[in-house]
Amino acid sequence: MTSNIMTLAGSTFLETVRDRIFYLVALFGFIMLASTAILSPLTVGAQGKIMADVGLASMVIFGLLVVVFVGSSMVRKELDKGTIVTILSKPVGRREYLIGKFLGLNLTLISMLAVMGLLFLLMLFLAPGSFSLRFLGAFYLTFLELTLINAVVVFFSTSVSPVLAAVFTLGVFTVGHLSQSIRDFGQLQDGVFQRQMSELVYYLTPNLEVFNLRGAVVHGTAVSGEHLVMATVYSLAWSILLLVVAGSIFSRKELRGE
Amino acid sequence: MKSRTKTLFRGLAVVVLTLVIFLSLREYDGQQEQADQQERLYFPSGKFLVESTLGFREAAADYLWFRFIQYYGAYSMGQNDLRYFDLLIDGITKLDPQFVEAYFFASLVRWSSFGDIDGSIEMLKRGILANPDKAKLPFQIGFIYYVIEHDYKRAGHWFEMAGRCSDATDKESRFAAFARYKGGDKRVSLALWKNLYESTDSPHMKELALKMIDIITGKIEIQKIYGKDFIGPIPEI
Amino acid sequence: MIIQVPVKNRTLDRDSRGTILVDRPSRVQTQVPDSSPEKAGSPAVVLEVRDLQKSFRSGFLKRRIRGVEGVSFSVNQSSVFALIGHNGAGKTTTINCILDLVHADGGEVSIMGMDHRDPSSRSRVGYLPERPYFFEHLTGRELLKFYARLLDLPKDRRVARIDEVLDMVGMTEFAGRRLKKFSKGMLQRIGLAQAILGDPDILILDEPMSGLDPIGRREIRQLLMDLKNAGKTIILSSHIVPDVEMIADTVGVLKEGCLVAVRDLTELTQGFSYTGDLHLGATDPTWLPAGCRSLGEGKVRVQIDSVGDLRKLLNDCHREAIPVESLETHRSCLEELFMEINREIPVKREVGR
Repeated sequence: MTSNIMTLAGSTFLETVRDRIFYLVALFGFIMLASTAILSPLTVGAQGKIMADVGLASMVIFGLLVVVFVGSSMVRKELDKGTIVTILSKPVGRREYLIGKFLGLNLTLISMLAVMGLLFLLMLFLAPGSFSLRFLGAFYLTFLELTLINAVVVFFSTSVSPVLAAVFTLGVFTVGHLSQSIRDFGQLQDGVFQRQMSELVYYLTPNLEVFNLRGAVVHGTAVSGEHLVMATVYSLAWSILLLVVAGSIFSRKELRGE
Repeated sequence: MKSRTKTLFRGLAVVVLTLVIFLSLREYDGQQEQADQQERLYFPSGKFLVESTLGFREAAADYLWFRFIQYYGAYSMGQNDLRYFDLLIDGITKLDPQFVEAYFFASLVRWSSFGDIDGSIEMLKRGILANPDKAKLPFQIGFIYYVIEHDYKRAGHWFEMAGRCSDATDKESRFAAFARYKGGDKRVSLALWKNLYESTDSPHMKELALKMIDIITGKIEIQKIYGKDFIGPIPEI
Repeated sequence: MIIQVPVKNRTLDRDSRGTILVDRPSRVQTQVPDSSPEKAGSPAVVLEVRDLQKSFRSGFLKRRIRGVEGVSFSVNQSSVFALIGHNGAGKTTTINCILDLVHADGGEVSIMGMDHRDPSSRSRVGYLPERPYFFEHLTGRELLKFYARLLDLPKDRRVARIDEVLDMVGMTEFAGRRLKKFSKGMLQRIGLAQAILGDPDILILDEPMSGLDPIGRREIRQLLMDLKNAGKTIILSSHIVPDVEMIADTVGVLKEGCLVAVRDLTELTQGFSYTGDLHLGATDPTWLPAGCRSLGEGKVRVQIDSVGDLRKLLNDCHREAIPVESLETHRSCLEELFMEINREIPVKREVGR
C-alpha cells in the first residue's frame, strides 16, 4: 500500500520535473529573485528588507502557480489519455492513486521551495546584516500553505475540469487570505444573518493568513514554536480532510465511458 | 462488512478532522489580535508597494482601503491609536493617486482626530497635485479655512479654485461668493454672484444670486457715499 | 473448424486472410490429444461474470444508454475466451466492468474467487487496454520499471524480468527510447509487455491486435499461444474474427450489450465442412492424404468435415514426414456464426456455460 503510494509519488515527481512548465516557472522564480538584487540599489537603505519581501512573496506565488497548474490537470490528463487504466488495473486502489499523486506534487513543491529558499538565503548573505535563519520558519509556513492548496486543487480536480479546478483553487487562495476581513466586516453588520454568514465563510474556508507571517519574519520576529505546531496541525487536518473526501468522489468516478 | 467498517472509519475521520480544524482556528483566533498588529506593523511603505503589486495597483489600493476603514473603525471603538495611519494612507495614495476619497477621508481624520489642521490641508494639497481637476479637494481646503480658521480670504480663494474645476457645480461658486463677501471683498463677491446668476440653471439659485446682488450693490453704494469706514446707518430712534 | 490445437509445443498459426501457417512442422505431434477442455478433468473457473449490468448517462438530458445488459459467463483456467462483436456491442464495457474501471450497476464479478472491487483481486491480472497510452516522458524500460514497482516485483528480479518481457514482445532494441516517439504498434507491444510483466495468471486484452501490421499480428498471436501453453488464462476482445478463430477456445458474441451466444469453438466446428488448400513442403508428394487432390507445385486441395479430420490429416502428413507449410481456408465457421447472429434482429440472451 505505502510502496504503491511512494511509486506513484515518485513517478509524478519525475513527470513534473521533466515537464517544461516546472522549468519555466522555476526560471521565472529565479529571475524574480535576481531582479531584486538589481533593483535593490534603488531602494536606498532598505535593501535587505525589500529583497526579503519580494523573495518571500515570489516563493509563494511561484509555488502557487506550479501547484495550481500542475495539480489541476495531473489527474485529468491521465484520465483523458488513458494512462490511468493500466495503473488501476494493477493492484492499486483509487485512494492510493490519489494520495500518490498528491504526495508527488508535494515532493515537487518541496524541492522547488528548497531551491528557491537556498537561493534566497544566498542572496540575503550578499546584503549586509539581513541574513538570518529565522526565514526557515517562513519557508516552512509557506510550504504548509501550499500543501493545503495542493490538497484543495486535488480535491477540485477529481470533480471538475482542469480550468475550473484552477479557477476554484485560486478563488480559495484569495478567499483564504481575505476570510478574516470578511468575518471582521460581518461582525460590524447589524443583521444576524450577515453576521452568521460571515462566520460561516470564515470557518468553511481555510484561513491562509495562519501561514502568513512573512512580514513579521522580515522585520526580525522569529515565528514561535507554538504557532508552527498550530499551523502544522491546521494544514494537515485540512489536507487530510480534503483528500478523504476527494478519495470518496474519485472512487465513485467512472474512468472510461462507452 | 469490511467496506462498511471502512466507510464508518472515514466518516469518523471527517468528523475528527473538522473538529481539529475548528479548534486550531479557534486557537489562532486567540492570537489574532496580536497577529493583526504584526501584519500592519510590517506593512511595507507605499513606494515599495507600487513595485510589488505587479500592475494590480488599483485593486491593491482598494484592498488597503478596506483594511484602512476597518483599522479606523477599530480606532473609533478604542482598539488602537491610529499609529499606522500615515503608513496606510501613504500606501493607498501611492498605489492609486487618483483615489480622491482617500485624501479626503485622511484629511478629515487628521483634522477631527488629531486636530492637525496643517497636516489636513497638506493631505488635500497632495491630492490636488495628482487630481487638479477634482473640485472636491480644493473645496475641502476652502471649507477648513472657512469653518475652522475663519480665514475667509483664503477660503474664498480655494472655493474659487474649486469652482474652476470641470466637475464643479453651483455650490463651489456660491461658497466662493459668500466667503469673498465675508472676507470683505465685496466687488469680487458681486462679480461672482453675477457670474452665478448668468450661469446657473436653477431658479432657486437665480433668486438667491439676485438677492445677494441687491444687498451687495446696496452696501457698495452706501460705502461710496459714506466712505470705507462707514459701519451702518444709525438706527432711527 | 478449429485451426489451433491447444497442445504444448505445437502451434499452428494463420494470418488474417485465413492462411494457416505452420511455423515449425517438425514440432507437430503424431498424437493429437482431444482438444475439448471439459474432458480433461474439471478445470478451475478463474473468472466468473454473473448478470453484469451497466448503463451510461449521456447528453444534456442524461438519457440512459445501455452499455451491457445481463452479461454472464465464466472462464476456465488455461483457456482462451474471446468476446467478439461489432464496435459498440459492449466488449470494452464488459472488460472495464470486470476490472472495476467502470462501476457496474449490477451483477457480480469474481476473479479467482475474489470480488473484483477489491484491488488485490487484480494482483494476478494483466491488462492491456484498447489503444494503450503511457507516460510519454518515460522510456520503455523506465515505464516497465514503474509498473514493476506497482506490481511489487522483488527488486532483484526486476531487471531480469523486464529484459525477459521486452524480449518476448520484441522491443529490446527500442527499450531506451522515450514513449513519445513510439509508433502505435510499438505502444501496443509495450502495452502487452506491461500486461505480462507480473507473470499474471489471467490476461485481459482489449483488442490486442489492433494497430499492428500483419507480421506484428502474427508475432503477438504467437506470443499469446505461448502464454496459453504456459497455463495462462486469456480473455480478449476483438472485432477481427479470424484472429479470434485462431487462438480462442471459447467465443462469446456480444450484440447490443447482450451476450447472445457462447460457443466452444471445437463444438462449433463439428460437422462443419470446408474446403482448404494445403501447402506442402515437398514439391511433388508421392503420398496424397485421403480426400485430397493435387493442384501441382506442392499444393493440395483438401475437403475437411471437422476439426478431427484436420488433425488426422496433419498427423498423416507428419507421419509421412511431409512438412506442412500453410493451410488456406475458403470460409470460416466463426464468421458464419457471427454473420448469422448479427442478422437476427431480436436479441436473445444466452447464459454461457
